[in-house]
Amino acid sequence: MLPRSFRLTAKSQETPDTFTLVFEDPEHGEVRFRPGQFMMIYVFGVGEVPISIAGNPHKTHDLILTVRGVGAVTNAICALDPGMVVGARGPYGSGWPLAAAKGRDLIIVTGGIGIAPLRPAIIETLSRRDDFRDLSLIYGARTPTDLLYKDDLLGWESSADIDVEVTVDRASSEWWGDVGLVTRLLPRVRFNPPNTAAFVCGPEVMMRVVARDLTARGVPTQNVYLSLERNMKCAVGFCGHCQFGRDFLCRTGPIRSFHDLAERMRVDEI
Amino acid sequence: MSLQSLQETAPLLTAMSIDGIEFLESVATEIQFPKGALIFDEDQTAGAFYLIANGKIGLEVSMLAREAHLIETLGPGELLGVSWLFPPYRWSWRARAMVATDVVAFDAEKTRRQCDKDPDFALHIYRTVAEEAVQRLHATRIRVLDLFPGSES
Ligand SMILES: Cc1cc2nc3c(=O)[nH]c(=O)nc-3n(C[C@H](O)[C@H](O)[C@H](O)COP(=O)(O)OP(=O)(O)OC[C@H]3O[C@@H](n4cnc5c(N)ncnc54)[C@H](O)[C@@H]3O)c2cc1C
Ligand code: FES
Repeated sequence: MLPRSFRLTAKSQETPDTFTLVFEDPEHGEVRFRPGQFMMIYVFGVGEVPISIAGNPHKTHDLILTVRGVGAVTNAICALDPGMVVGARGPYGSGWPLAAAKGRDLIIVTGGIGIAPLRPAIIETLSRRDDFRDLSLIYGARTPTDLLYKDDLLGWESSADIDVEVTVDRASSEWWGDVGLVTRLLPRVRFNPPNTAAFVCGPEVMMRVVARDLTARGVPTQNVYLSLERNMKCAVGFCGHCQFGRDFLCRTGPIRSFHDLAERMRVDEI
Repeated sequence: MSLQSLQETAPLLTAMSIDGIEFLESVATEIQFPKGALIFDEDQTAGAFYLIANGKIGLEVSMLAREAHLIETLGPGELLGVSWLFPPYRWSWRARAMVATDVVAFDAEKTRRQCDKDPDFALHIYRTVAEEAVQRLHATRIRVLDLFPGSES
């Protein structure tokens, strides 16, 4: 439970309010993690928040986080300068079930900052491409300016290994890409519904609509996985902050199948 | 390009009767639009409706003294155009090819007349257009929630 000290070594601005930060822990070295896991990041004197690991799972020397400044702690993380130090404990959480997607078509649907916890999963699936059948990424953002990982997207778009579909909610006529909800792009990607797994991460309403659409097309509810982010405090199952129905999401989540969540996602205030 | 070759991807053609397909074929014209080409403009008469075979079409709204805004994009298998079915048969938006795009254009007036003559054909056309419109309405409602905070366009 004790945090390790991580020093910021590099920082790049993704969008007006979102930064990708690279940390290292010179004392203890690497951070091994599974795609989809998160760390509790402590900014001294400000507070502690859960942030997903966004780096390459095979390059464990660096701890890479993508953070959108929305409040006290996330703004303090975004304001860090190289050389400054944060506390970090983890990794925590269940991670994306890549084993369950093996041998299947895999559709990754994400919106906004939701692409951060999926970036390691995309890198991992591409590194063992033969384990999966058709592989697609559908990514939505508010405007073209709000798209994260623009260099990665260019690389993935030019690869024959993954079908990448990007859409935004609003755009001027200078944008030649898609405009519309992520679900409108589902008919464009190839998948055989009964043998498809889907990883979905984004705002809760978006995830619900995507999960419904996928299951209506015949993807089994057990194969649709959502990342249900609830505020967390201890991250080890003590405090109950992350309780969702009978589950503590820091231990049994945040990634769960739609099959497990569907009923509870309809209940307000869980 | 025969309409049969589009049958798998286009809801308009799936489950349409052979007679219906034959009629549509008789009022169809294949058109290729280069990237950036204007397909129709706001307030013009809606003389045709389109089935997208390949490519992508953007629906735009023009803004006084500002660049046009893209409202939505449509891709292969999707129908372009609803206004041709309801008076006053004028386009509400501007449509532009976002990449080189192949479409099949159907004569709107002849299709409306066929709807008057053949109730089964009419039901299929109205049902397809309604389903497409409802899907777009749902998607638009979710977008109105402005789920992704971020910058202004
Ligand atoms: C498992 C997990 C992984 C996460 N991964 C990332 C990540 O990779 N990058 C990232 O930028 N953020 C991530 N978050 C969200 C991040 O933890 C919150 O934005 C952060 O806790 C807000 O703290 P704050 O002190 O900056 O803002 P606060 O002052 O606590 O809150 C500011 C505003 O943000 C809202 N908010 C707080 N927590 C969340 C949340 N979990 N989801 C949505 N809105 C929230 C509050 O309601 C409030 O309106 C993750 C959250 C979880 C649970
Ligand atoms: S965050 Fe404390 S129980 Fe999950």
